[in-house]
Amino acid sequence: MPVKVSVEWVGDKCSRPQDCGKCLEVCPCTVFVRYATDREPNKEPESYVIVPSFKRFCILCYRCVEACPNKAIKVSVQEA
Amino acid sequence: MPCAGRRNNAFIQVSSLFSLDKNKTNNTAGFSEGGTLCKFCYKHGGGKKWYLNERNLSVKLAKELGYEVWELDHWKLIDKVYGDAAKTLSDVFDDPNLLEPTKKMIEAMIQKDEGTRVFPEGHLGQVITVEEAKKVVEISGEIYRVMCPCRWMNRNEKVYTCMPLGLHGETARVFPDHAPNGVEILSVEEAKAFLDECDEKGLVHTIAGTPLPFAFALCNCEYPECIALRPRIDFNVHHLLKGHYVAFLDIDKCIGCGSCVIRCQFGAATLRPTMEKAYIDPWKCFGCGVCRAACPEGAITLVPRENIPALKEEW
Repeated sequence: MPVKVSVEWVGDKCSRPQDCGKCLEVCPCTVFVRYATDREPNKEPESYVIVPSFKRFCILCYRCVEACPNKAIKVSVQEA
Repeated sequence: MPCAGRRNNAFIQVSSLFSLDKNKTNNTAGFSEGGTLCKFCYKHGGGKKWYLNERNLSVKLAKELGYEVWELDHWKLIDKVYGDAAKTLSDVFDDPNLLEPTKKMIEAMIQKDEGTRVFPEGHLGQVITVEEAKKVVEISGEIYRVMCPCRWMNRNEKVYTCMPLGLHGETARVFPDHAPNGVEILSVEEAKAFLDECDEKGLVHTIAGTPLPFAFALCNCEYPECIALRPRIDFNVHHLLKGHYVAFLDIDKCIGCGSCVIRCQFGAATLRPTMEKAYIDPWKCFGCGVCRAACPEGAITLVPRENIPALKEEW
């Protein structure tokens, strides 16, 4: 049965997306991308977000949910 | 029709004598008008493929079409443009409610006879082989190299594989900040060596043109980060066309090592376990030639698409 997978990153709960990155490390399908919101030439970006850019690749292993210390990642599934 | 006046007259006469009238009756997808060339190459190529026509790579054409301002904006806002594209791509395409309308919108946008910069005509680019990429470099002369914006936006990785052409490259020199090491200028030989290196690595060469016939960048792409390859492969959006070649495998030479299977980004190459040989699905093949570079036995050849009756309109 086809399912619709939804991977969500809650910015308010995530403490330090630029340093932690546990979700990026544990994901076997490279779903997450760390993305700097203030990209400018010749300047180190300061604010980052985690974007589940490739959530289509998600296999529902829930490793990211287990690995996140702040429970900032929500994986939900519903029948399409 | 910006370049209609520059078409090769002899070519038009010959095609109208032989293929054009004959093909009018069974012209199904609108591609077979020119006999061996699809309608876009027929219209914009001056008897050649559109990206091998000197005029389409020239600064002159871009200036005639008035793209100087657009180019300046493009490089100024590249981080924002590509960043938004990378972020919204997953939101739009992964949502089944948005996927179909977006696809329809893009297809309606590009299925027009005449295009503008924002609403292009026909397609936005094509997969090409390393030989064709080298020809483009030869025509273009001096070539620039900058950071790949797709991989930077989608994976935070700095990979220097993008080659803006003509005016696009000249404008990039005004904004060297975009590439942290500046814009590199390669000689023709250096660029050719680099293209070979990319071919060995397994990167797919593509050429982008918006709107046709203005070709603005030669890229060495990688699924899934590439914002051109991914919509085509995952979501079947026909904005990027297959190349003019199809890979064919000499089954006697194949030793079943699987090098091509590992490299193929389009899922066309598979291994047949019983025969211990590879198989390349010609319907899935994009004709990039990456498998040919990987094959230790030289068993893979690229055949022109127009020579294969079933595939000649499969773009």
